[in-house]
Amino acid sequence: MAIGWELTDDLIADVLRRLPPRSLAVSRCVCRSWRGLVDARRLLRADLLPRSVGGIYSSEFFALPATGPSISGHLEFIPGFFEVLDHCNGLLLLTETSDDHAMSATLERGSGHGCQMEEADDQIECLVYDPTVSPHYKVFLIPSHPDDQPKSMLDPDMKRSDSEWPPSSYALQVFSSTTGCWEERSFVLEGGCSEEGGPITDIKVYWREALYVLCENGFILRMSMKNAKYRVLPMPSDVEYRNCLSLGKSEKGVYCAFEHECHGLRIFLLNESCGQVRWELKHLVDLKSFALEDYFEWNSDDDNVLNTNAMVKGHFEGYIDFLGFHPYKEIVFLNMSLYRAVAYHWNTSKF
Amino acid sequence: MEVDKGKGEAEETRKVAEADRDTVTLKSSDGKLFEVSKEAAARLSTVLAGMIAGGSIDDNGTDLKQIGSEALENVVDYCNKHANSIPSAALISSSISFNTAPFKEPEEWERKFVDRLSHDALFDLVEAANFLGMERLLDVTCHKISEMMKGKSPDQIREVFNIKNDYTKEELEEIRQELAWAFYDD
Repeated sequence: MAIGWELTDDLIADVLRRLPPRSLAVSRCVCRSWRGLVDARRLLRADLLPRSVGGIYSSEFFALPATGPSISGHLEFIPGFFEVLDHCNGLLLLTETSDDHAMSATLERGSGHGCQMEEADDQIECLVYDPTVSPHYKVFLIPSHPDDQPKSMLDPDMKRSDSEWPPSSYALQVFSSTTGCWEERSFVLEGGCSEEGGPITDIKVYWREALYVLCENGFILRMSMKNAKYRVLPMPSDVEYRNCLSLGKSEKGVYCAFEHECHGLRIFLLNESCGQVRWELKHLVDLKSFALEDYFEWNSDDDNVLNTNAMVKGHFEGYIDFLGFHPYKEIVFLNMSLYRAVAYHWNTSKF
Repeated sequence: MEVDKGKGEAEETRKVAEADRDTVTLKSSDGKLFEVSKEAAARLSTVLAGMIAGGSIDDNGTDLKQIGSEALENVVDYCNKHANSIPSAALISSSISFNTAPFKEPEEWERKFVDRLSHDALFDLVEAANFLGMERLLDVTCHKISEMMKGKSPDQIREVFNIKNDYTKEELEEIRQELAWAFYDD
């Protein structure tokens, strides 16, 4: 009568995965082996991820209508809210008006945890948070100019004299919510690449324990949390990185969307399987074949962000800007001529 | 109709098996023989389907050494009941989780079928269903066990399933705090 040691792990996992999130979380408290199963097989993933997407964040919060309680786009409801430094999987990194220490809060909870931080113009703040792996988050401070680094907190006068790029190691200040402390972490260069250096942009994405940060020289730094190494990845070929661009995660991994000659849209998927890194062109469309209807409302039933009356056949004359990717469906959100936010379902080429 | 067939006495079962090629005879680890509809067995169990197709069915009783007589009786009972039931319109569970494939809720008779089982019998049936590749029966039995956990505290779950708490107090407190994070509105 002892399920704990009579059934095989596979069968216990088969039972546990049927539990609603709450009971699944409780089951982690039952015994070590159950917690091991729940964690190793990431059974709680569905719980900690929102089951429906409430909206996307891109300089302000765009709520999808008709999916649960709506959230004000301007975030004034957060006490002391000043500005959003970063966001990651539903967690926001905010600065408060009163002083310069940052706090973060999830949109769902509205309650924040604080961390003391000095804001500076020459660094990019990266929030790293993946509820499928851990309820804890980290904040990375990445110097915009690699030449300036490392600016060690331990030795502020220490500077690198050589300006080779990429540097053999990146020293970053990292705040961990587990310890509540800042510490310095070095990321060692893996694989070679000799290019002109370029400042780091704030275009970045976090996927499967790696942080992808775009540099102005058109390369991406991929920083692995697992082994504290970093790599320099190229951007898709034939693409001008200065173009309007969006880096994001969606159904299958890291995606990159480009605007091409004003009306064209290209979407690439980063394929890192088999030790190879390459960008696969997933979609190519000329938006001129669509036209924006005036009266359209962004509608979303059952989380299927499809809108067929938004865009019809015609001649779209404006320009596009990227708001972001749907976190787990192959949908990109576009800003059409600062006029409408639309969802484009690239697999079916539908708005 | 002939639900009681599954409870078969060895001699009688063998006679029927020889007379009727539409059934197969299964032998439990403790040597008891059970008869089951060949069609139902092939439809509900990938393993039996393979054995039937591969001709490795023994008319004198196909040995299933991993399955005790009580579990095998339940398996056969389930197959026969399934063969006689009229499937209702598919009721796909609006399941909570990404982890779960769409699951058709148990039918009324399936619910009753697993409800009457003791814990031991239920767990044995899970193993038998798994061994025989009976996806539906595995679904129904695992679903039943998960129902027994829902809404219970860790202590209650340990009691129901006779599991030893191998955490220290400090560890438990730490895990609870992670829970508090997941379920802040409690």
